[in-house]
Amino acid sequence: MRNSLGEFEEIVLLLVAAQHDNAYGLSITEAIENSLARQVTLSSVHTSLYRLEEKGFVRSRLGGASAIRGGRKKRLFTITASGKAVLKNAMDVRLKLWEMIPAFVMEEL
Amino acid sequence: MTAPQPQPPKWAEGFFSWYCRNELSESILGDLEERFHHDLKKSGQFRAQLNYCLHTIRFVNRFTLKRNRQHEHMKRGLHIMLRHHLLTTYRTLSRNKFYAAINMCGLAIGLASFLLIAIFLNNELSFDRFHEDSQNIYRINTTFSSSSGMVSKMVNTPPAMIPGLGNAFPEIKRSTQLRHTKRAMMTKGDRRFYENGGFFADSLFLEMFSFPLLEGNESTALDQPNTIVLTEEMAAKYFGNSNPMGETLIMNNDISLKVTGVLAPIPANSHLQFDFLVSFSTYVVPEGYFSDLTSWSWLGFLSYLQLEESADPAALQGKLQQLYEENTSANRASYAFHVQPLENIYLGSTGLVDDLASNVQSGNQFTIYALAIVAMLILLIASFNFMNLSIAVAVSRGKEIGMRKVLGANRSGLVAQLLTESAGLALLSLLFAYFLSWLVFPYLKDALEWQFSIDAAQVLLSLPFAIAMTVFIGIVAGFYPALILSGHKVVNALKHHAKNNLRSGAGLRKVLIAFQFCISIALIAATIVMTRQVQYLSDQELGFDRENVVVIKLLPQDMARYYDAFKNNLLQNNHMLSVSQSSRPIGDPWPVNAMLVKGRDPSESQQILGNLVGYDFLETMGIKLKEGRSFSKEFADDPIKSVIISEKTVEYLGLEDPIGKEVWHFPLDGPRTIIGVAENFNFLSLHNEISPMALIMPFVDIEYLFVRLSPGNIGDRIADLQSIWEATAPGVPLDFYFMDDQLNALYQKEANLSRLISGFSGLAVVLACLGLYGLVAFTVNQRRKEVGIRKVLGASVPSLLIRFSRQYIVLIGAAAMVAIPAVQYVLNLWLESFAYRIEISWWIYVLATVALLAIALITISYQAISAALVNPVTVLRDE
Repeated sequence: MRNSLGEFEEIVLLLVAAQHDNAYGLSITEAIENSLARQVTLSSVHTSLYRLEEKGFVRSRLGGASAIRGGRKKRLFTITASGKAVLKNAMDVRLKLWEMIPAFVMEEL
Repeated sequence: MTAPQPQPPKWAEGFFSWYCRNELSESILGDLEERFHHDLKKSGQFRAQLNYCLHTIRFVNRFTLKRNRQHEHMKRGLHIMLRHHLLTTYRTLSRNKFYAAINMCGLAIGLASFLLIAIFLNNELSFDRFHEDSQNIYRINTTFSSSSGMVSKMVNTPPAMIPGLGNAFPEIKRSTQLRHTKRAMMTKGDRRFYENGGFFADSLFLEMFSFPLLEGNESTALDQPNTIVLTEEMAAKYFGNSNPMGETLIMNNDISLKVTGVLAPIPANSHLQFDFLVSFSTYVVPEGYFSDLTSWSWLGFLSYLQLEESADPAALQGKLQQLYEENTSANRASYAFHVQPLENIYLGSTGLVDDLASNVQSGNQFTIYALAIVAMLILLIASFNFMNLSIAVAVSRGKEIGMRKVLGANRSGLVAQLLTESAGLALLSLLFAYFLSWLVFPYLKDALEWQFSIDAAQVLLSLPFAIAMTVFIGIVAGFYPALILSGHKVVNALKHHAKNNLRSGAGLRKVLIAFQFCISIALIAATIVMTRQVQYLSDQELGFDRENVVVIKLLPQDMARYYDAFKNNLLQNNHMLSVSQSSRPIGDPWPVNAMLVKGRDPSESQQILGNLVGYDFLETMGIKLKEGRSFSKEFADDPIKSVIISEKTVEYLGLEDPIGKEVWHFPLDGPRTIIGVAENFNFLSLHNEISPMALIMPFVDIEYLFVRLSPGNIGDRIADLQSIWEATAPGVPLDFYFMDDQLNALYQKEANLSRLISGFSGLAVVLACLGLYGLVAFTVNQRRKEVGIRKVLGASVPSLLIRFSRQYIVLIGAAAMVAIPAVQYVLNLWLESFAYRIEISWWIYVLATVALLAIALITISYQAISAALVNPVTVLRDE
């Protein structure tokens, strides 16, 4: 399990990549809530991020304090090379599987 | 001025910072605050604050929690070992759930029985120890030996003894004497009850013993004549909720008593039991007694001494003797005085007679020993079970141990691990045992009429001992398997020499099993013998008909006033067969008197139990006359000139042709003519032999009325009896009981003991079988392949069964050889305390052995059959 990616982790990792250099716990939570219309808690996103960091798919640094945060810094996440590789791999697997679907199956869609 | 911007709740923030790691806390708090302001706009202040709080709680997880140093430390050294051991324990147990359960249940039942018996024994041994100065209080007992060599040991003393002590004994701190009031009627207005009895006592009694007064002053309450102190419970009966102090009670329709104190409840573990104390100065020797309070010969009082710390009781005994001799003429029947320590009275009074029949509790040392032994045996059986199963299960772990050794475990580590496992399991059983005892205690208390309850403090105090004991059992049980297993050579252990593994410890296991069988046989035999003895006692021919006799207690003056009328009225009713009266109820000891055949030397006088009875006594009691006649109204001088004696008395006095002979019954009374000889009868408990007895007609103090009813509907008879009584003596309470109830109560202790022992024997057998069951299950399981091969080679199911049971049958035989002589010895010891006892016949032992054999075989077959019926293919195919 060390290098695999769960479904929720994949989403979080994708969003870290999408929000390049501006990704932090709350921003990802809001992105999931807004663009995926899915309810998540802040703590589960944070936990996911820490787990991704533990697996070496993301890296974090502190920065970007603002007044609305009570002057506290954000923990900003960026995707690492192995993070990119695992995302790429996940996508390849999906694509390969998509290609296996006979055309008429998806016709009515 | 604008309202200040709402802030996230400070305490939630504080809580979060408290648990969260520093390196994460800043960024998370920042996120939380941002979210808070977002929520504030969207859903308002309350919602925002609530969410904030919920978030701080949701963030508790392994990434955020602080790692404290202690936690880090625990991972090292001893703790890691212990944790590992506990983990392995858990795994081993869950792998062998069945054996673990049997093992635990067995030990738990054993421990629970042990705990319950310990609680009971603790109570028995605690008697009279609650008195502050209990170690320095003694009772004076008197041994009375007549010139003819008859010796009786009494707990009573003459009334002149205590006053005679005077100031001549510096080692005596306090001295006091008691006189039992017998059943007494107390009256307060229209509330009138018979009380079971109290004592005439002085203030020194309250000072010497710790029977505290809730109200009143211990040192003065009983100083004045006509005063009484009573228990709270009794006070409530007469005075309800109002304050009893200074109120007046009337005793026996005669003496007014002023209440000068209220006693705290008398502890159940006091040998003296009473509801009230009347001041000793109130006591007047009843008219007609041939004695007074200056007598040195009347053994009718209980005397207690409180000695100085430094006093020597043995020396004091000699001085008391001297005092007695100084005050009496030399040629009287001699008394010898002994002092008995208070703490020894409850258990050490077997064989001592109380002439007063006062309310004194006594225990039986034999009960204590018997129960202590049973408790130990049960614990032993349970421990052996535990050990046996531990060994059995352990040998199947050879591979695991071998693996551990390969990975570098050293021997001491392995032993420690195995011992932790076994001690852990034992402690688990203890927990279960406490739960079981708590569950069972109320029932046991009910069934055995225990007077005490468990208090939490007692349980807590017992805890360290119980834990130590349990751990000890666990360690001892685990030691042997630990030693063998850890000693195995790695290669052997790993090479799967199942056979070798199975053999190790087999010898010890057999010894343990044999020992269990031994105990079981002994307990089964003891149960049979005790049950039969108790049965024998209650079936014993008493020489009178105990059924359908109602005993009514009346005050002497009521008796004198209403007896004749009541008797006449009763006899009008067809169901009232016969009515008579007696000075003592059945079961209470009768007074001892000297009897001398007229014309013989006074040194030939004999001790005879004498009772005062009315006309028709023999008829009412169903005592048969051997020769002569009963008391009769046709002979006017029967009340003063006649006596009826028992066969035994004839023998005792050495009379031939007794009818018409004259005897002296009391020193001051005239000679009486023997008018009848009754067949022997036994009014006392059958611990004693039938004593010589004499009956004479009453002159004073008749308090008991006996009515023989015709058999049939007892309820109707009693209703008739009551209505006749009310018509005859309106307003006088009727206090009655059935004679056979009273007689059964005499053997209640034996009955309870036998029930207790049979209960625990049953338990012991169950335990032994539980162990056997587990062991056989295990052995059979290990030998499945063997069974398979034997079946393939043509063995039949019965032959397999025999193969499995053979060794146990041999073991039971061996156990019987050891058990029978041992139990024979102990049971004979017990039976010797009865004058009337059964013979222990050989069939009892055969029955015990066969019973155990049957139970054991059923246990074994259940497992063995299931193994023997299995298709050999299923067990053989995996090789």
